[in-house]
Amino acid sequence: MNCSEFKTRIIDLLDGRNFTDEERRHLAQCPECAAEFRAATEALDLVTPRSAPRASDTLRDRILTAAASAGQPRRNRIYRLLGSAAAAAAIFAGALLLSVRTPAYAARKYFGSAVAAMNDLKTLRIGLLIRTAPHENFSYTDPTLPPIPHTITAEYGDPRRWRIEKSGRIVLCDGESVRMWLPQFGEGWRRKAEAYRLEAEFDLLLNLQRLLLTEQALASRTQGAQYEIAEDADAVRLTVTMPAQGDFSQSDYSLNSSIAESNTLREYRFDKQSGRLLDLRITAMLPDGSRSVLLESTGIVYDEPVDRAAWTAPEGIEWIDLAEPLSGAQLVDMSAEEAATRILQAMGPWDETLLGQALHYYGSGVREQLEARYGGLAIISAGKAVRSGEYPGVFVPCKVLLADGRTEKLMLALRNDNPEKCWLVDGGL
Amino acid sequence: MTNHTPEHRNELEELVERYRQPLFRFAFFRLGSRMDAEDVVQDAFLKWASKPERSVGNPQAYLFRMVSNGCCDRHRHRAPLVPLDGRQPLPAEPCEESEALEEARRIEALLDRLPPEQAEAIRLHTYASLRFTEIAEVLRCPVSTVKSRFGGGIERLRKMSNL
Repeated sequence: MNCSEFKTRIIDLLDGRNFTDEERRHLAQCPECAAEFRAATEALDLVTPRSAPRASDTLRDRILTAAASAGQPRRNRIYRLLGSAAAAAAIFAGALLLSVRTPAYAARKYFGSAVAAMNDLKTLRIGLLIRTAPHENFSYTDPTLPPIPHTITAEYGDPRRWRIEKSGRIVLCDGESVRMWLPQFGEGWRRKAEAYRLEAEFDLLLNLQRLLLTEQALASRTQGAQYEIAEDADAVRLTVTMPAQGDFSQSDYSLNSSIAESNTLREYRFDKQSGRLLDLRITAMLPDGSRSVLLESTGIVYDEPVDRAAWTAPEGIEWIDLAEPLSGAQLVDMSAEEAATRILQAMGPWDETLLGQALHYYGSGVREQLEARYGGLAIISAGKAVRSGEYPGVFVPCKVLLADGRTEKLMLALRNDNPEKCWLVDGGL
Repeated sequence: MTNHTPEHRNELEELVERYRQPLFRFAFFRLGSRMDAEDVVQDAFLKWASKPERSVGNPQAYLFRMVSNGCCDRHRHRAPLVPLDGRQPLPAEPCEESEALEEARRIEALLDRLPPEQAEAIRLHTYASLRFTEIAEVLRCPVSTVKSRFGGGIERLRKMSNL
């Protein structure tokens, strides 16, 4: 091997290829090539880091959380909802913030610290005031309703147990099954814990680490979000201004019907010493420019023992077992509009065969109330089904003539995300 | 991602497990900031996750390309940080990373003096420990081009440092 041949191979050797015997011999015998090789190696050493920084422990979860929610289209609808003057102001403010860079990454740092501070939680109890109706789904909020007390209790053992309670509705997971009941009606449903998915907001409130991880992820990917950090002697206050999440291109029916589907101002206060969340408040920013506090914590308690009674459902509840398959599913292989029409038509003579299935989520007590209200109705119209916000089903706008001669507009919520693909009524009555 | 299959989600988890640290290391030294590096790495995985299933033939090359592009964008648009009126100063990086940050600044100051394509070939080798064949996949060019850029960069560094 001559010097010219060796020099052409230096680059390959820097890439980590092993020396051949021939190359090794040449290097030992030729001082010029040895100097050439040493200089190239030293040049490479100059730009090869010695330290090995590692990504933070939360990065993995942050990526997976963000990816799991990335199916939601990114939309910057905030200026469509505001008046034109407000829209111009919002766009102008956005431009200003972009030019100096919002401290979103600084907010992420605080969220990350709080996530780490809550690593070893044993139990959690949160008292909340939420603007909603007593019997409605937990995710439902209405900025015009008065606030109702809620309690969330969680025990992070094996199995994980939790309970969410308001005056008209309780949902309990004892580790194996989930039960939801309406105390006033004495009825409810149960299903296996692994088959149940809690509404997004409460799922996050049950696990504050995930709530904060989600905020961290939103800080990375949400257009129109803004962040402010303020500190006093004992606490750090983080304020997030977040546009509504979800797709409202077909309908804005779901807009402002849940926290995620509202333009919100979210305030978190963290204890400086422990890093733990002290309190939170979520305010809806409404299209008319007014504000309404949708959710406010009244107390967050960590690691206090939970009374065993919290994990037990009361006696005397009529349970619907949602694990049982729907027998003879009738509302299949048809459009949502067609299903809505057939359901409303069945309400005229109150056809129990069809309605027993369509109202699968409702117990006999509630069905009796529905029969009293809608029995004998005549259908006037069933419009085109629309999707709105984050709701997994569809909404069908309908107009009916009640037995007492009054007309009523309904927005029938239907979903068929069950194994039988059968349309079931999920709300709107 | 919500519309993808469990297989797609499992693949994402495997990729995150396997590549997040080398991708982070590359971005950290490129940008000299933990926060920015983690953002760029996260964005790269989200871009992969948003692609149709099985549409990315070489995930490693794709992820490094996305991180490399993300770092370039951040570098291009990086402006001096000006605290907003009435807001608290931005938090400092953890002090235990000061050594790594100092090293990043020193190395980047050297590589900034090279033509960008030569510097990037060297970065992918020294920051991410990629072989030339892998760098060629990231940069979508022949291996011979990578060798030429790498060799040209090493030659310039030698001259700059009187080696």
